[in-house]
Amino acid sequence: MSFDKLVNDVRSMCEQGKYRHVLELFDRSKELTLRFRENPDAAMKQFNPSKHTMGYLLALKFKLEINVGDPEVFLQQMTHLAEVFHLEQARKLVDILAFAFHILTSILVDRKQPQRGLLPLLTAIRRIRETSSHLTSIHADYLCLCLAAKNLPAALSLLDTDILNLNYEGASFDSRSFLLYFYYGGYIYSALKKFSRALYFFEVCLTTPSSAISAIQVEAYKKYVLVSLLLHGKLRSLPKYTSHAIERYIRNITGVYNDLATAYVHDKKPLQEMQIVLQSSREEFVKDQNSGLVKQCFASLVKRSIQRLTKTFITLSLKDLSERVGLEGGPQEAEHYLLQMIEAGEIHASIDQTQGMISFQDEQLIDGQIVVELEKELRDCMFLGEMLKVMNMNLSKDPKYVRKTKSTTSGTGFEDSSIKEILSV
Amino acid sequence: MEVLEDNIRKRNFKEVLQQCEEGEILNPSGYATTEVYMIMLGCYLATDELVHAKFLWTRIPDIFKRDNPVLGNLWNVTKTLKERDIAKFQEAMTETCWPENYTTLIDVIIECVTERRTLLISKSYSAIHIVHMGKLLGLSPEKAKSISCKLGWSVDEGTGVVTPVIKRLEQMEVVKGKEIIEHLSKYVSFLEN
Repeated sequence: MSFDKLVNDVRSMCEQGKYRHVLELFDRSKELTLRFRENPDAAMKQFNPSKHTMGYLLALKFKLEINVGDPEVFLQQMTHLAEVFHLEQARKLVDILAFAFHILTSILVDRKQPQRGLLPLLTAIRRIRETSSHLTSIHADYLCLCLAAKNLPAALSLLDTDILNLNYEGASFDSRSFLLYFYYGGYIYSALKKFSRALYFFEVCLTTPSSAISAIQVEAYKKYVLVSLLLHGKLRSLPKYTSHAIERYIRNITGVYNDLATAYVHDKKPLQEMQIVLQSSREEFVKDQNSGLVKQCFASLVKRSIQRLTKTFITLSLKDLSERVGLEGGPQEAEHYLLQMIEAGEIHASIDQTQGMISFQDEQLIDGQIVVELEKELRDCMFLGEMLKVMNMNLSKDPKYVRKTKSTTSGTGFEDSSIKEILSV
Repeated sequence: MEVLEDNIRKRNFKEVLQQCEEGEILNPSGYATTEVYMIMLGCYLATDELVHAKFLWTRIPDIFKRDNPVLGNLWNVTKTLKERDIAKFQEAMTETCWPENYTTLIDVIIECVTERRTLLISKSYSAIHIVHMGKLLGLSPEKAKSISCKLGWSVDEGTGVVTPVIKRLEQMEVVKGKEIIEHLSKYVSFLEN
């Protein structure tokens, strides 16, 4: 069979929706694969990426295996493909599409032009995912580009939507893509000082079931320690469901960070203790690119001391406060800190300048804003509860799962008690 | 650009930023124009999103900064806000000669920053000296006094002490009658089960 005839066959199969036949033809025909391998660019030109996406992607696969050639041409090809690919066909070969975007990402980062990849990757993600809460393996590449381009708002459009499902990509969706998405997400949120969200992302990365520790998880744990200190004033323990390997060994690998966490909560001289740790391990913090977060931990110590005072006193003079916290700038510096903290909503206090006194107040629960926030949280919890029930139901009906559980135990899926336990947390 | 200016005037910063941020990505070069960068930086200042302002500044190409000193001028203003030096902020805003097409943006930034500081004063002080209030706003005591009067705060002429009144946050949308019972019963049933 001639090459032209084979190409024509692929085209018509794509147009008629005979996608399985396209794959079979490629498995069968040595002529086709040989010619594609010889000149993948010419082969790609034979197909219209919007109508014959499968043919185009199969030719692209050979191009990726050999050499992507001119990066400019490759970028143009991928930008166009992201806009026009046929969704159903692209989903059949999503592993090739994802791999092509991984390659494009590394090329753009190497060429120091990450901002140019944002459009094609975002377009592809928005089109290929089943819903906005599905995670694809291209998500992590997109976040990597956002970080390299320092365009963090561009990342928030994806990160602010909770991930509830994985996009089906077969074997190409490995744990690395998953871990990287949550690591980069935590990194971005901590750069934007959204520490609560950052901690959640690092936690997901660290609690991903695993039998060995990944380098990504080690880096995530280092940041988890620092963000935890900034948010809670102490190192928060990892959840009970964390894999044994992580729980057991990660502390040994990240010793300096644990030392810093211990120093931070020192009863009498946390500042001095932290300085000792910093002096001995400054290089390590710099190498890990965590010196900014460490610096913020130092700055937060004063605020933490002021917060502690609000739990002991109802009123206090500015002079007393500055002495108790150890501020060299006296009452003026104390007032400066108080303003910062009130503005950030970290404390509720009122300064009377005529008396030089501060009155600490409880959070004003009648404030309309708090009621609105409480309602939103409740609605989110209810939504997640519903989602969990649906996922549990789907899982218990999944033939593979049923077969496996039947062969190992006499049970039939998740027991009701386990789901109830999760929902009650 | 007119639509953007109108939205800035109406303080629809979220919408303006969304439009500009999307425009930046949609450009094949991955860069926006100087005007768009100015608007984004301005909106970040108006909304006190200084971390975003910092990242924006680091990603604006050097050639833009070199050819358009107005960007550098607005960045200098950003630095004063990062240091919470409001006197320097007011000075930089009023003494810099801003191009005419940015007049609305600059006015809105000054208004927003001043309003935010006033709100902070009302939340943080039960009594404050007028001179100190002026310092916190970066304004003269006379201007601070006029702002206090406008807000209905009492000013003791003899001692120069202002008694700020806390501005309540906008009340939540009031849910009434059956609707509130429906909401509450949903929550209770969820929490009990």
